[in-house]
Parts: sequence; C-alpha cells; structure tokens
Amino acid sequence: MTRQAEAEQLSAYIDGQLGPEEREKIERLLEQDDDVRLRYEGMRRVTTGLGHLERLAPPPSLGQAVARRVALEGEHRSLLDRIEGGLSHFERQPSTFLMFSLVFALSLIILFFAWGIDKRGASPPIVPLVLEQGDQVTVQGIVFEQVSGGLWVQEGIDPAAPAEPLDLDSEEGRRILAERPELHSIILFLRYAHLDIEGEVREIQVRVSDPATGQPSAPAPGETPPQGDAP
Amino acid sequence: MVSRNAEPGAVGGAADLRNLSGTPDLDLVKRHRYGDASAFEEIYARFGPMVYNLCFRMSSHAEEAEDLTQEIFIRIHRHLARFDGRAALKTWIYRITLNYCRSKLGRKRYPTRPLAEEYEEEGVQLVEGRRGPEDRALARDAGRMVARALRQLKPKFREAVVLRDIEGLSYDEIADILKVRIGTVRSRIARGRDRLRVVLEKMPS
Repeated sequence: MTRQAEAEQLSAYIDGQLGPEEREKIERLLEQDDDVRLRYEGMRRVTTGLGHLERLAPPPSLGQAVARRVALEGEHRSLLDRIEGGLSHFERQPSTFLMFSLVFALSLIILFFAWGIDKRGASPPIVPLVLEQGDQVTVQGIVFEQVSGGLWVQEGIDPAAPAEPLDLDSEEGRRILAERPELHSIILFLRYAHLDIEGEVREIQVRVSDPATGQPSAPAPGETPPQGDAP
Repeated sequence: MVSRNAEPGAVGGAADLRNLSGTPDLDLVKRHRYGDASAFEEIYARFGPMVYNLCFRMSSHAEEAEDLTQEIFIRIHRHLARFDGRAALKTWIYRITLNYCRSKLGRKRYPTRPLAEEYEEEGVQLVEGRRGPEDRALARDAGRMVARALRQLKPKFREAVVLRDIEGLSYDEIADILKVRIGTVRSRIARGRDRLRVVLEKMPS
C-alpha cells in the first residue's frame, strides 16, 4: 500500500467510511505496524483539534452592514424591476404586444432595405473595361490579340498578312454566318478582326454609322471599337 | 446548523431544510421572492455564522472574513429568487461562499499570527457553548495549534478539511458543494489531515 493510499484508508477509518473487510484490515495493520499506528494517532489528534475549534460569532455590526447593503441593492433593483414591469405589461396584453411586434418587424425591414440602398450607393462605380494593344481575349474558344487600330487578329495569323474583307451582308457573309453561328459573338464583341474562315484569312468589320453624316465608318486608328459583353 | 460531531450521513434530507424556528428554507426563499424583507433577515440569521466561520477559516483573518461575508450575502440576495431548490439552500450558500473566497483569496497571502492574538485584536467573540472553563482552555490551546497549521494547507485541501472536520458535513455533501467525486473528497480530506499532522508534529508545543 502506498503512503497516499494508507493515509486515505486511515482517514476513512476515522470517519467510519470503511466497509467491514477494509476496517478489519486496517485494524490488523494498526496492531502490527507502529509507523501506521503513529500516523493514525497523529491524524486523530488533527481531527480532535479541528473539532475543538470554537465557532465564531459574527460581530453584530456585520448584520447591520449586510442589511444596509441589501437595502441599497433593493433600491437599485426597484428601478430595474420598474423597467421589467413595463415590459411585462406587453405580455399581459397580447394585442398591444402583437402591434408592438409588427411595428418592430416593419422597422427592421425598412432598416434592412435602407441599409441595402446605402450599401449600393456606397459601392464603387463600374469602370468600363478598356482593352489595349497587345491584350488577348478568348471569344468562343478562339484566341485573339489586339494589334494597332483596334484590330483583333486570331492567334496564329500574321497581323501583316493580307486579309480579304468579308461583307457580312453579302450572300457569302450570310451563308458563313449561318454555318458558323459563333461568328455572331465574335463580331458583336470584337467588331473588327482578322480570322481564319474556311482556310483563308478574312477580315470582318462592323461599320458604325457616323451620326453626323449617316455614312458607315471604320474605327479610328488607335481607338478600340465599342466593346460588347463576352458570351 | 449541523453539529460538527454528527455521524457521516446523518446530515442532509428534509431535516436540513428546517432550522430552530421551524420554517423550511424553501419557504424563506418563496417569501423573499414575494418581496418579504424579513425572509432575508432570517436567512442571514440562519446562515450568517456559517458563512462568516467558513470565510474566517479560509482567510484566517477576521476583518477579511467580515468583508467576504458581506459580499457573499449581497450575492445571495441578488440570486436567491432564482434558487430552484435542486440542492439544499445550505449547499447552495456553501458553494457561493467557497467560490467567492477562491476568487478573492486566490492570490492573497496574509501574515500568520497566533490565533489568540487575532481573537483579542479583532475582538472576535467565541461561541462558548456548554463547555466548562477548563475544557474551554484546553480546547483553545488545541484549536489554536490546529488553526495555525490549517493556514499552511493548500486551499483545496483546506476547503475539504474545514467542511468535514469543522463544519461536520458528510462526504456526499462535500462532493455536492465542491462538485467533485466522493473519491476526490476522500483523497483531499486524507491529504489535508496528513499534511496537518506533519505540520503539527513539527510545531513547538
């Protein structure tokens, strides 16, 4: 048995906490082992000494101090109780409570939308995307690179290579548009491009009417034609 | 109030809910809840000495014990209306007392002085009971020595020993107050007593 276990057994023996078998075992040990007996007697003295400690009477002034503090506390509480009482009035009158809840819910909804509007107002302005020379875009899976004059050239095509213009309003143009519907997106987005159509380098261009003359005009050199949304 | 000479297991149960005035603790709580100020006065009369003694044993300092008692009763007053009666009121008050003492005394160290000096200087009154003058003198000597040794125990052992050997609580009640298992209570009491034994053996008589 360890020293700690022995101390626990002796302490429990003093308190009558041991079962018959454990009690017999400890009593045998007390008869046989002087060390254990001395330890037991020492612990016994401790419990007797503690038992002899007199109970102290709290000074009468303590009771008065507690009463004063409690009274102060009561005054403080009564204010809180009045607030709580005011709230409990709503609980007693369901219609008033319902009305109050509705007004509160409405206020929350208004606040929510007001906050949303405010957030939208505070968001940064949308900056249009400006593409410059050397930029690349992918339209309908075909990569184009912008060269000078707002011209987009399909990847793999020499920008200097001659390109035969394709009139989109011609019979050939309508046929090709019908066969390759993805060209609609390319035209819409790029407006002015060189690309491979049926093994040849073709130039497609949307002519913008000049609002002053009503004549179609190509984009000015160095100016990117108006950009549409990429599909 | 439970006698410290009570047999283990003798405390607890319905008898604990009453004091000499015969009013069950729960009735006092109800009266307090309905705003009857006299109910709290009765609770102080019933448990004030218990709280004060425990604070004194934990702090070893009469003035500190008064301050602690005052604060503890303010807390009892604040939370009494929410006392649900699952534990005995006494257990609940012991718990508040020990928790508050731990929080306030955890890092404090008081100079140790002979208890007799403290009694005289602090004007502490002893509840003499029915002992004769000789018995009282002997009890004071033994008590003085043990009280001095008690201050040297770690708080967790001191709590267990004070609750068992001074307050006379059962192991079950102590486990309930400290919220630990019976085995832990048993171990703490044993270690506390054994440590006190060693301290007392080294003390000049």
